[in-house]
Amino acid sequence: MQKREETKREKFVILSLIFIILISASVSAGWFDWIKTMTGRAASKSTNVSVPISGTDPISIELVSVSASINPSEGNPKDVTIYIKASDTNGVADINDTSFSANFTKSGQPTRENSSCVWIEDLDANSANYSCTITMWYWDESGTWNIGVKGRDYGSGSWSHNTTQTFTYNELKALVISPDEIAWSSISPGATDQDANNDPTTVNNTGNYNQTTNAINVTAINLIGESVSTVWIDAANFTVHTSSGSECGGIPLQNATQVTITMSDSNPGNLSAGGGVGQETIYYCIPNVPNIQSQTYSTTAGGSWTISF
Amino acid sequence: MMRKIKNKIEVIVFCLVILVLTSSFVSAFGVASPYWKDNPLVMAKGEKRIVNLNLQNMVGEVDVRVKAEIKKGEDIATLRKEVYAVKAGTSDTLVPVVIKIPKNATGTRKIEIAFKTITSGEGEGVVMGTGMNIGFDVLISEKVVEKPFLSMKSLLIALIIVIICIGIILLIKKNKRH
Repeated sequence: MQKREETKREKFVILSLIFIILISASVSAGWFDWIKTMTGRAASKSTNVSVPISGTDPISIELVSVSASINPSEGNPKDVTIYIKASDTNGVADINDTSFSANFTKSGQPTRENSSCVWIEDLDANSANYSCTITMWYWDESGTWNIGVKGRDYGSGSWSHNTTQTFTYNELKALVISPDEIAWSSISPGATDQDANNDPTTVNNTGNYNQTTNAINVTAINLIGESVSTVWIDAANFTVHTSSGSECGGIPLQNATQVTITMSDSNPGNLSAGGGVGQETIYYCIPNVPNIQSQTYSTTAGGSWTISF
Repeated sequence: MMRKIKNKIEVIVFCLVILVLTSSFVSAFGVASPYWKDNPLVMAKGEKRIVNLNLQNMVGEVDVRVKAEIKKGEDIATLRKEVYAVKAGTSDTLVPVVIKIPKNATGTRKIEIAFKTITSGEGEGVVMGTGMNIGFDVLISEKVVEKPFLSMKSLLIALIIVIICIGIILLIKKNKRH
């Protein structure tokens, strides 16, 4: 009886020892390292280990956040950010995070693009979120723009595309005029073809309004005498044109009435390009100076003129 | 790298242009609209919608005051106010245009709103201000939008009144017992 007990105890101790050794080996490599050092080979050697994870399924791309319409920014670039969700059934590690690019296209317009969209976060085991910021310009045409996104994975290496979405780039009517006052040097009653001495008014299109004719209007106001306010120069005595030399045969203005300069062009474009891009000019003339009292006539009492799109 | 350099050059030139533009001008503003001549608004008979126009003053260095006036479409469009202050360097001033289509309306209506800077005429010559005319068509579809008998707002008010009445009745009963 006692012997049986002793045998049982011995078996238990041996099994426990084996168990402890196995547990220690799985938790710490110290035991096996000691054994390894007795191989007679070199003590240690570092090596790079890479485990490429690859799969044959291409990724799918979905646009998760796109504004339906976007306003241009007057005279400024406009950054438009879109968000992309890419999914790969082979796992998120198979997605090439640096492969994503996006563009905005419209027929007849330069392509606006970003060739390096940014990884934001992994959403789950198979998908990740990216953002792409593309700059639109104030002169870019209004209307529907197409959104194109592409990216790829490591495994299949093939490009996936999403060209299903669009947005509307709204119309922005905006202008800057210079100078903001027009003047004539001293003129005599009855004189003819008197041009303004500091024209033209340069109309800078700081938006994307596009109209090749009838683009600009002038609303004139009668010029009231500054000394004797009961006398005025009627707005109908003034004519305008977009070409120097043609203003005295140009379009007559009317008091408190919007008059369209028929040959005017809004000419949207990159103002920084120079050479008149994005600009139109307005020249002024008094073809026949009325025979009225000599004094200064101005907009002080009657109110300013308005140049408008 | 080349793209970054190109972008930097564009920004520098752009800033120079803005410097030149702002050195001698006063009057500048803009109006952005989601609808325009070639992009009409489509609404149903009986429908009410608010279209937000956007006033901008991104190029000027001076705050401007702008007056808005409906020139066409007064029968279907209204503005909540006439004068808007647009601070320099901003592009977030909204002008809500409330558009209501009558149930018996048909065809196409035109809306035109004139915006004009409120500029003093004081100066040595002919002072110039700037303006924008925002116009678009409203295409009226055949679909009719019916207003519900009771709106959500009315239902909520009714519910609150009922709860208050029940509360008062319970309070009265409690006081009677005492």
